[in-house]
Amino acid sequence: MMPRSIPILTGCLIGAGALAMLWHTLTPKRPVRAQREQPVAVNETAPSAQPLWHIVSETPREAEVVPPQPAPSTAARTEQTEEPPKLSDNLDDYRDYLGTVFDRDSRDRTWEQAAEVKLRGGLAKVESPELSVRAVECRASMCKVLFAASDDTALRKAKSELPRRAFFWEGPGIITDETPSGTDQHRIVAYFGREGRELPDG
Amino acid sequence: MTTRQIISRISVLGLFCAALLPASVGHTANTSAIIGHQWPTATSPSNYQTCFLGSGNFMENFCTTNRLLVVPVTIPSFKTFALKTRFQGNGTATATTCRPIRWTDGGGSVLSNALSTTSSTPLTFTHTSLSIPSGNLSFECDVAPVSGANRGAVLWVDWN
Repeated sequence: MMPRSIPILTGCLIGAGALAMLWHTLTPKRPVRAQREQPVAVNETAPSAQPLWHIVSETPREAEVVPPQPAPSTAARTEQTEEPPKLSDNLDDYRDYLGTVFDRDSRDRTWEQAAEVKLRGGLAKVESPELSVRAVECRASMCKVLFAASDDTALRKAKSELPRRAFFWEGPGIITDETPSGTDQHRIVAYFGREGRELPDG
Repeated sequence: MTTRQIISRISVLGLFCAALLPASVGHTANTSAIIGHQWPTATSPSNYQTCFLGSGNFMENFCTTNRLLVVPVTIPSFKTFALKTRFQGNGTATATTCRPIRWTDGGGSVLSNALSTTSSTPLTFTHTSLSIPSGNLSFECDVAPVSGANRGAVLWVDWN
């Protein structure tokens, strides 16, 4: 004979599952970046944003004291679901920003020397008559490499090939062109971050 | 015990149950590496060689030197992605190395960190995240060659 507690437990589990799904649906979704950066300006006490457990645990008296709050505006909702822009979103701006960071970076001679040797050794394999390495310089947190391409075709080819042949470098990086406007020079700049760290990105 | 207390306790149990349901509710973006293709490194198209063969969920390098496997992926929305790869070496000192790359429309690139293994059994790696406001994302792997019964291989890539 079936014990009397089994249907009760089953009912509780079904009810708990339904409440869990309802709670998950009502809880506002937060983007990953919003959790680790500045909080967005959203009214957290808006009734529509409250999870079910919060409503249940409130006493009636507390619920009466809290004045009704307007629902978040459309703009606030948009802000809640979208990530704030990052410096790396615009690669030209990010290249200029990293250039400033590099110029102000501190020194770590031991790491710099080892990193420059590693970069020169790895980049020697990508040099060709159409692409030359003009400069390699490292600071405490990143290295800057300047390339010169022979023409526009070589520039485009190098931008495609360099990231795919930079497996010798474990850290992050960016590779983009830095051709001065109004000139026929074809230059590429690369910033390689120190392994185990991320490049600064606002 | 009042009805309110019962509802409150069931809610707590519901929270516990909700923690057990992420796979069924959450969205994941993951694909097998067998959608990838070799990146040509020869100077002439006639010299391109097909080194990668799909074997189950493995994309294995059957050539005798390292080869580049490119796995381009579809981005569901533009945001910052957490990036993972699962791959293996061939058991010798020649490693398999993978790196996610963001490609901009202008041809520039943002590189995540490169991670390597020489292990002949698959391992899962977590790369540094990449913000992708436009353009494309690809996972690029320098795959170790065949060595005896072992081959370098990539199993899957994951972006969420």
